[in-house]
Amino acid sequence: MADTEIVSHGTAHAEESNGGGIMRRLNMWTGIVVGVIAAVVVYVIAAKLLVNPDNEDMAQGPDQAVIAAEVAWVIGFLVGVGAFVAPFRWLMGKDQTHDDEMFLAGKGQGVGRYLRFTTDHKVVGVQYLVLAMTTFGVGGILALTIRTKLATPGEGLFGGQIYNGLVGMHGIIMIVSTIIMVVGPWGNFIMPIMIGARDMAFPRLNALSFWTLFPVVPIFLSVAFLGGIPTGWVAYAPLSDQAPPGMDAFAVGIIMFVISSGIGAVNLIVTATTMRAHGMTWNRTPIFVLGVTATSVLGLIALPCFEVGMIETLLDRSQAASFFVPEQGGSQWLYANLFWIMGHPEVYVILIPAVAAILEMTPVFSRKPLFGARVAAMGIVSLVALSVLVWAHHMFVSGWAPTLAGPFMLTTELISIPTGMIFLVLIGTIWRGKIWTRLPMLFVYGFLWNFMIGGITGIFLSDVPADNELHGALFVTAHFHYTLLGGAMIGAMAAIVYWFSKMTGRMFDERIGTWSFYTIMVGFNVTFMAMFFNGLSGMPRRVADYDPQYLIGNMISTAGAYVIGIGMLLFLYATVSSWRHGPIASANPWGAKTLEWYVPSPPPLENFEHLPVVTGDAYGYGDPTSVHTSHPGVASVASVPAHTEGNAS
Amino acid sequence: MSNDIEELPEASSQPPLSERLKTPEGKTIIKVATVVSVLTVLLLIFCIWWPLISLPPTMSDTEREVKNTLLIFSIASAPVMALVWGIAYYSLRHWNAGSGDTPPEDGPAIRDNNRLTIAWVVGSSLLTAFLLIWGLAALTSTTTLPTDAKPLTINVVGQQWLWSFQYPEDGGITSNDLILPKDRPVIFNVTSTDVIHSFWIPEMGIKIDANPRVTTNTLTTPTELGMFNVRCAELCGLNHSYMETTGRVVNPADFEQWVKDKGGSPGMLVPLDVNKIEPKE
Amino acid sequence: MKGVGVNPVAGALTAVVLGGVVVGGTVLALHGVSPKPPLMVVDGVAASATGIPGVTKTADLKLEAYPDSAPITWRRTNGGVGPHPGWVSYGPTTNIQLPANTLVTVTINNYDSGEPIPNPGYLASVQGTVGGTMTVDGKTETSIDPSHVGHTFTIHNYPSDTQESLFVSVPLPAVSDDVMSNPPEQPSAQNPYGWPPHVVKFQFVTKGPGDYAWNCEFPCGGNYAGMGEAMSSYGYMSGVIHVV
Repeated sequence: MADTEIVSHGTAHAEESNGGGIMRRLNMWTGIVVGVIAAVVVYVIAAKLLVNPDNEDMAQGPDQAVIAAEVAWVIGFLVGVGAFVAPFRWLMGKDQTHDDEMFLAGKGQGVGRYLRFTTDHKVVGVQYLVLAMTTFGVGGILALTIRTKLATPGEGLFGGQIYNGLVGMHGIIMIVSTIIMVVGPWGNFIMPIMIGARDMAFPRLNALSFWTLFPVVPIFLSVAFLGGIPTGWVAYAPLSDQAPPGMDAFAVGIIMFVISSGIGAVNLIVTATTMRAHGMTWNRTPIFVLGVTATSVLGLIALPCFEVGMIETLLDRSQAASFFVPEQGGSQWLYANLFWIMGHPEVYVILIPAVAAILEMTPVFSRKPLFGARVAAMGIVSLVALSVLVWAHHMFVSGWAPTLAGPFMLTTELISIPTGMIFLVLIGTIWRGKIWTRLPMLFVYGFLWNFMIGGITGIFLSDVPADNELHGALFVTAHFHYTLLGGAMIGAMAAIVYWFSKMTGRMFDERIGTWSFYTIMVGFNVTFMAMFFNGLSGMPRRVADYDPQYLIGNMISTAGAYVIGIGMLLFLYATVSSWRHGPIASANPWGAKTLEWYVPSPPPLENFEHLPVVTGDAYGYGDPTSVHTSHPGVASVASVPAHTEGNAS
Repeated sequence: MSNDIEELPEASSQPPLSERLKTPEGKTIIKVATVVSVLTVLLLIFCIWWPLISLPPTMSDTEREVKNTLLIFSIASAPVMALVWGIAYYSLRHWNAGSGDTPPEDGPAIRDNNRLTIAWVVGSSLLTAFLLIWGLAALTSTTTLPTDAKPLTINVVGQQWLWSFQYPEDGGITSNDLILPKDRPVIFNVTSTDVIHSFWIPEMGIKIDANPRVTTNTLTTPTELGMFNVRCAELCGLNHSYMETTGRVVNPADFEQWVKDKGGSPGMLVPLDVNKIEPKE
Repeated sequence: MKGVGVNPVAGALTAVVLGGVVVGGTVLALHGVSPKPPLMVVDGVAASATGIPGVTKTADLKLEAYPDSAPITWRRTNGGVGPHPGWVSYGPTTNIQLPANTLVTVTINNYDSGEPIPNPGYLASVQGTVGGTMTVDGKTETSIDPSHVGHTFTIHNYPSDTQESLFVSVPLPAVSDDVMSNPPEQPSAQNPYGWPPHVVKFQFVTKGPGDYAWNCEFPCGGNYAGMGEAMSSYGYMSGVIHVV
């Protein structure tokens, strides 16, 4: 159990520290400048050397130039933001001084620390939150554009080429955004405090994981200007081989994204495994910690397969390799398998942190212990284990290995059992509780409704003959939006409301938040329930135009989508306005028991005055003998949660 | 009191069921059961209605299997949804502690209930097993031909952005419309000349990807006369949404007439090699 | 900046309105950048006897298939002919309007070279035309040499509740490489390349009103399977036929 020995010396270092060296001058803007210059220079040189439209042997020139430019952007950005300064100085023999470390942790820098290579996990958490919400907003704009186009059949506003590109961009931006949506902000900000640590195991890697992710977003946006992608975010070969250079930018973006999430996953796993406070055995660890750790393990195993698939796609496109080109001995099924070995665990990477957050909140708002906490833990671990065994249910109709249809149907249906355990834990916690209907609890109920529908329609899809009818149709789209948007995103928004006060020191505006919740729920169900009907009636997915018999369903979906948009804008407004001038929050407005609620809101730089000692789990509601911590690690008693112990009726 | 381990020790000291149901705890159980039952009925109505109203007209045996499967799965999901939502709703109504600024007092410290957990896991496993067995049976029935069947073989070629159909057993004719004789099993050999497409007939419940350089297959038996749609179900580029054509199920006599009109000979086997199409590098 | 006002309702409304503006702007921007080939309207002329029962009008549609985009006037900007002047293209436009219930005579001049076509038994033969035939430079054919196809003109059968099926596919024979390397004439307004195209003429009958996608089915683009680049970009080798 690491006790970092760095204890704040009160006021002696309250003023701006002297350390940092060149890091004082480097930030996001210098990163962007260096990155853009590098990308432009490399592209100009590469275009001169490699691109020659008249020479057939140099047909891959444009792809090579785009790849070089995008990689140059990332490396230039990382150089400009100062990611390589510390390793370089270490090579030169200059170790970090205490002042350097304090500067890097953002001491005394005010808002500027959010734009720098700051190692403080709380800063990284806020950075992730802003990035995740911004990317989600961009994805939402694309979604509304798609739905506007689909409101009526016919050529309409723009044709299939732009539409296919929109669909692909919407997909990848939403996937990136939802993967980081809970693990990024709360796995970084809350989890170390929740386990009684002062920071994560590798603070500089923490900053690196964020700043490696940041340049990925402009890469995906640049795809639109390079011809777009015709494949959807799954980037199936060999259509990916046919695509314009936007496909190369897409692939580079994916590779960088997987690298970033790998770094973050390692950091999180090591932190949760080794830095828990004295007395925090695994049985006493909050379920949220277990959830994000399990997610990180799963992501670390699964996401690199996508990276490999994209590297091989790049080789096919830029070096005339033949991994996925059937005419030259390759196989399109190789790509499909690589992709889906990532693709299925990836949706659980999105889902499990949100589920863990919901599981963390439900006891607080039912004032009851988490029912069957071990069942919940077992459920999460089983989900992780089983999710790597089900991938070919996405390939039932591909014609690959028809003899494996039965076994994959078995594993896919088995996954419904741990999912059912999660529902058992949730309603077991709610049953006989004292339901405190604040905004996070509304989201819990929303999750129960949406995720149930999403999960059940997943079972429909797991049946092979039914999948023969439903695959590639709008039914699948509705199913995964119910689980990812209706389940995981609702859980993420609940987490934002729940931990908002801890992160910002202000309470989230629950009046506007409640309007936003109901608006989103109504709009969401209208939009995607109509899609179930349309999909079952035979409308394919990813189509820019459709048979007029599907008009009514599409108009309903579009109307619902606009309502979702209004709800999301309300939520955004509530977030921004609460952050700027919401009411000041106490340390523990929810009367919760996990360690983060014992520290002030927002927490000081090193979280605790003294590291806490844990004596029980964090769900001891109604049981005066079960206390999470006897030494909360803060000096003032006022921050001890002001709960009352009711009688166990 | 014997030492038989049929009953748990406390069970022998519990009053009979009718007494237990009159306690406050028992009354709660009855009320919840009522809510769940009402919800089950409502959901059953929805779960039966929605596939029946959405599915395309059933024109083959495979589609009938799909329809039955979806109905059964949908019906089986109604009590599951009702149970979870009913309990959640009842709790919200009955144990609502308001939305005040301070946390309400704590509830009872119920951490687990082993019997409930076991019952839940066993129940969900049984349901999963049932759905799995049903699914395997459906899978078998939709992928095996009856032994005395004389299937018609049709080659399906998907390319960007067009379907074409070859009838190697009827003189090698090609067609843009898919004409099928009624009540005769048909095997589709599907391939592509460029990227991955997906050969889908919604009214017949069959779908199989068209892959370059590989031939996949699927089979069905049309059982109703009429028109159907052939669509592409895998994004294949610019005109993916227009990769659609018509089909018709006709009487066997009309089918033979159509073959002759097209210049073929019904029943004449022309071994068309599907891979004779040459995809460009 | 939204949120400055004390009134949260006003602030929330501002957020929604701003969001709507952003989405609307994105939609309009995408509409703006999407290529818009001009609509070529072909009118029907009443005819006394078309030879087809129920059809009383005729119309003439003339198209060209070019080996590059140089003659495409609607793509002309100050910098040339769009970002891909070397891409093959149908001209003068790909957005066509035809009258319903009309016997349409189509003349296509193909200036482009060609190669073997995939699915030769199907795509190198004439389908959906009147009589199942076409004329190539005056000679009647029902199919052409599949190893020397330049392009095809294929109208997708896209039946729906509101329109009838319409399927036409006609292959265009390729200009030979010797002719292209030794053009007998100078380029002129009528003939931008100087070598004689293959003139393909055929007739088909439009039915009720509807919108039909059409494209070339020959892999004359780039990248994998020759279906990328020009073939996958709107308005080069694909378009829409509006039957009104």
